[in-house]
Amino acid sequence: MTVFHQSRVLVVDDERTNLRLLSMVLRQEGHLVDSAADGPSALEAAAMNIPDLVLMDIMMPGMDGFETLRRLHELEGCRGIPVIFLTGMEDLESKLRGFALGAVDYVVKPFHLEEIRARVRIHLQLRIANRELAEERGKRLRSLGQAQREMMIRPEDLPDAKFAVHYSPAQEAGGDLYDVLPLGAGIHGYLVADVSGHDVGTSLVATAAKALLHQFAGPVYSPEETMRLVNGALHGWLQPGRFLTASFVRLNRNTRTVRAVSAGHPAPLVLEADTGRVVPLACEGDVLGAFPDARFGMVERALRTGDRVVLYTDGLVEGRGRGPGGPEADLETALAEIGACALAELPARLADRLAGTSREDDVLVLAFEA
Amino acid sequence: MIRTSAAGDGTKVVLEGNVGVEEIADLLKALDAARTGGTVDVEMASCQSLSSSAIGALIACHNRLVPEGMRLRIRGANEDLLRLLKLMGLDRHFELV
Repeated sequence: MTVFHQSRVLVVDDERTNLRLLSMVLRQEGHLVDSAADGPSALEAAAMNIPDLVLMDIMMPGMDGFETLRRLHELEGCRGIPVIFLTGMEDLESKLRGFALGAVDYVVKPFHLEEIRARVRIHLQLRIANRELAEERGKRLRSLGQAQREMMIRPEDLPDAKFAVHYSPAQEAGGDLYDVLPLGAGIHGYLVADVSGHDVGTSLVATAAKALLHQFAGPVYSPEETMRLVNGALHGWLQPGRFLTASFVRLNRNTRTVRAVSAGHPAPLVLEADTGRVVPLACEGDVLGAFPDARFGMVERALRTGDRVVLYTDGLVEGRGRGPGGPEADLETALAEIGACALAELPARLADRLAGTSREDDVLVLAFEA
Repeated sequence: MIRTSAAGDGTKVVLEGNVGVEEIADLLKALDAARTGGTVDVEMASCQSLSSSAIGALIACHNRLVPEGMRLRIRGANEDLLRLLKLMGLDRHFELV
């Protein structure tokens, strides 16, 4: 059985005759109607029962329609509620002021009831369509986010890789990605990447990038060659302006060497187990997918048993460390202080310490131990 | 905020404040309008931050200029933005002054 949503309209007018007439007409149309004779009463009514649409007089004693609209949109759950102004004023300035505050339409007094019915109907239809669109988009993002999480390898899936990860996307489906790949006996590849933008497309690019990495990360390629091949495939496919930054690190536990390649990404950090020193695996490289002839720098370093490597995306250090040391300075300090904790706890502890809860970007931290 | 301003025989693009995803359409339009001479100048002295989408727009502009023998020049970027652009290797593609 289809369940129809009955729309709720709030009518606000200090003229009692108008208030009664409009309420009656809208009830006859099948809407739930609340009424208020002034701004404060309207805000009280809206807070109690959130309306789908507000029909409001501008000129009211005390709080006028403009101020009531401004405060209405500040109420929880009321942001973006369409407001149609009723006004005796036809001047352009008043109309523009109302639109700037978020009004969606005007009806000039003396009004015709047919016009009121038609405008209320149109704006309710738009409201319903927008709500359905938002719900549909939310559903798609949630299912995409679920698929994305299912595709992410967990530490228990690959215990030999000795890694831990913390991933907190800013939206349901994020643009940061990581992967850990077995590349031979005692050899693992670790990737952390960040796709530009914050829309549904970023998740699709992230998924494609992981598929390409699996194709080109084999032991016959150096990490630098892997990045060049991934770049070549992405460049022919990505829309102009879309790109990724990435760090790809290959650890060979047989030789205790690590090789890192950068694609315009913050350098991974090594925490030396015996000295407690933090050393960046710094090298230069172009971003992925933007340039056909991109170049990627590579750095190699010996590791000792127990040394840890931390890869991260810039959401971890967003807004931190403005100054000569850059945002990495805060991370290096935090890693030196808490880096000796259990490996499984390290990524989340770094995120708690640095990123906090108020943020607009995804936060991804991956740590592994040699 | 994005605006364009006359510069010599051509037009320069001026970025101000925090350039986020909401300004991308304006940025693309302004960069396109500025493709009149040999160099597209982007003035960033009053720009505090660039979103990744804004950086993508600059890259896309650069990639369209190169085949036409033109170039993108970033002027006056602050220390944080310069560090970011260099980290991303964009100093090898854009002219930073």
